[in-house]
Amino acid sequence: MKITDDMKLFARRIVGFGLVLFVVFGLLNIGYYHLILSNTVLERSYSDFLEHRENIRILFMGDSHPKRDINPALINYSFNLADVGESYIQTYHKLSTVLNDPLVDLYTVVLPLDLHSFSSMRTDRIKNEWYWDRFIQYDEVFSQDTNRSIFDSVVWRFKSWFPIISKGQELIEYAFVRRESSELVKGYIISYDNYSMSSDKSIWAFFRAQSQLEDSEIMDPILVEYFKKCLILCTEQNLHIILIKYPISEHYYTAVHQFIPNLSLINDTIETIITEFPGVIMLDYQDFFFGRDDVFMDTDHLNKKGADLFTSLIRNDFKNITTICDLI
Amino acid sequence: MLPQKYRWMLLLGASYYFYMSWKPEYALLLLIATLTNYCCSILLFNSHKSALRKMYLFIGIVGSIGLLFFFKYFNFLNNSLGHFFQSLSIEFTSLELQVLLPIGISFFTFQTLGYTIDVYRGKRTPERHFGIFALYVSFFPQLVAGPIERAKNLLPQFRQYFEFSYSRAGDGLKLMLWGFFKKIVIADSIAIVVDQIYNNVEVYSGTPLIFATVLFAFQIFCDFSGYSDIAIGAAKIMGFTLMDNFRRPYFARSVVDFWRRWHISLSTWFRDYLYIPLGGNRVPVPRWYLNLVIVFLVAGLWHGANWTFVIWGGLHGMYLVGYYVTAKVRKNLTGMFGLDRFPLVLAGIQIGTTFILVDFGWIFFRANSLSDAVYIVTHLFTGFGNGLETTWLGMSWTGIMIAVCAIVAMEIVHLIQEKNMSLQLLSMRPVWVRWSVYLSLILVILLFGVFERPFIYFQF
Repeated sequence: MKITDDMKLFARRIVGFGLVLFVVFGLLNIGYYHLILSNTVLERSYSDFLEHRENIRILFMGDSHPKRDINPALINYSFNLADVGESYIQTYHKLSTVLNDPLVDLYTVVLPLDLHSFSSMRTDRIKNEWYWDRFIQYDEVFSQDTNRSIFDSVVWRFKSWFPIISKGQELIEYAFVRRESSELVKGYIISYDNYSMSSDKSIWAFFRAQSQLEDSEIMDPILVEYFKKCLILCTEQNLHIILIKYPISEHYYTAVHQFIPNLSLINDTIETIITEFPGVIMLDYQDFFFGRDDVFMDTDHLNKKGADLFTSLIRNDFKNITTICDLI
Repeated sequence: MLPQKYRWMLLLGASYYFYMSWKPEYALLLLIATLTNYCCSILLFNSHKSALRKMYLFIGIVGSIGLLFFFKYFNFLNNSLGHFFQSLSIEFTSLELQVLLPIGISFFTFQTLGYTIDVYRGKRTPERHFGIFALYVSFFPQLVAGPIERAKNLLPQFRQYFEFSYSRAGDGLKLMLWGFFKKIVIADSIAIVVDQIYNNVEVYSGTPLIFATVLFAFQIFCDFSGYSDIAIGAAKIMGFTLMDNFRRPYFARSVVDFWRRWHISLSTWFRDYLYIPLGGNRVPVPRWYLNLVIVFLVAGLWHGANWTFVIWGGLHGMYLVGYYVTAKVRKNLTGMFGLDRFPLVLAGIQIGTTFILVDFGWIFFRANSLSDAVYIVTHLFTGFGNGLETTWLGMSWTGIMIAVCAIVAMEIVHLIQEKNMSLQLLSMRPVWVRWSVYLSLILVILLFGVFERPFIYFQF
């Protein structure tokens, strides 16, 4: 087939339009990063950590539970480097990066051990690729999961380069709603919400548990593997490991039972793993605030009052742990 | 760029590759449907004995319907029989087949079925070139979710000489872009709210149920017509013209009008291959009404092996019967209230009523089970005190407002099209205006799009 004038014109227009699109989209992306992303909790927490990393000895890692429940201002030399929605895959990679930093001198790493921690719902939900790009070795993650294709890898990279994709709502809220940015203390997000004021708590708890556990494998082998990798990494670096079962509301605990009828499956698997690591300490506060909805901001996260209470409590418990008692 | 004579090979290879990228072994089903109908159509065309012709037609129909029945309806029939015998306290061992429903099976089996029936009726000669016929069955833009193409429209196009046309390719791209907007920006974002509510119906009553049902009307439209636009646009770029599948259905003034605008390729298929053979409207009135109900019951079943779809179809059948039964009464009422002097008001009432009727039907279409549908219907107007807390809707108010604005924008475009002020107006504008519009649409898709959700009609 001969190349016609129509073809040439079409090609020229497509290339021209593509260039204009790339420039406009690129500029929007740069603006988004500087106006919004640089001010996110993720970025501010990590910058804060980098600034104070030489003086941090106890590092809280994990998902929104430690992020919302631990106020490191109440524990000397500690920092809260947890992030909302973080899985053990992310924790492992972040921990590896942190421990490779010669300025970091940790004694203890505190990891979460909650009912949804191993739920497969988390395995594929690595959001904010632009942030995780600095920690995660995508190729290694992909090699762990045969369900992932090369296309997924391309999508991840694309999203990490262009974080503005699907974030139009954030732009609108930034322009019109003008929300106050979250108050942060050494990585801890302060919330003054009060769950006890909510109506229909049990429905809320049901939706929360549903979003974390429905149609999911409760003990995803990939997450179990990464949990072990976190423990191995810490052991190799001679770090003390403390595992915490964070407090949840009674409504949430009841709701979880609808999705995990056999909780002993989780406990038995965890027990088996932990026996391989003799120095690991596990502290269970899951039911500690049952009936105290006023200390929660929602079904399974503490508010400022609860976080201060809880952090004081674990500070006292930490004092009984001989390996770190001198620090507290 | 490929020479014309090899073009079908590339397209056939691409079509099979496309289908096999989901589940390679299921390409065999496509091949079986192709082979059966290819052979049967030639054999019946060559035979002169009526009985033989009927036998080949029967084999062709059984070949297509058999595949559909085995993969789509076997478990449904078995379970239904099981429930039926259980209610009579008769022991019945139901056999559950553990098979995945092949994607697009309802579409390509109907396409082949229509072709064989056309040959039997003498409306067309059979296609002798197996490759071209296989391409007709598997043509990738419309393979998995239609439009269900007719042989007389698509088959000749595979032999036509193709010359690249700038305007045609441009139009195809624009149509694809519009389809992506409907699918990714509207359908997939409101799906979050609809899924949240319809997957937990018992938690809700009143406003949220009505809200989700109205949203679903737009979700299903944007999802399906979005796919059709992408398919038609992609085919257009390659030089093929596929049939229109949607014509602004929510501007319909009656349910009859709705079915002239909704899933046109399916409704015309049922008209030609089921409604007319049943006698259509050239039979006594009660039989005509029965024909309408039968056609819509089958159409409902075509959508899915579930009683909810059967009821949805039956409901539309009843709507149509109701439309014809009440024709005189409605005309008298219009005259009595003098509405014929206010055509805009009349149109508004008709469009609104049709939308409410169609949307009521969508409850059965979307509900996960019959009991869920019954719950929704009986709780639509109860518990209005329960507000629309966004934590329960799965989306923030900003997100919902964005989706609603996108729906309004789409309907404004539809209104312009409805008034025949077609988007060709845009083509007459300077290049910077056109580019700004396309650029804005792409940016809206990139910024507000929800990615990674499959098309609803893939399951049919």
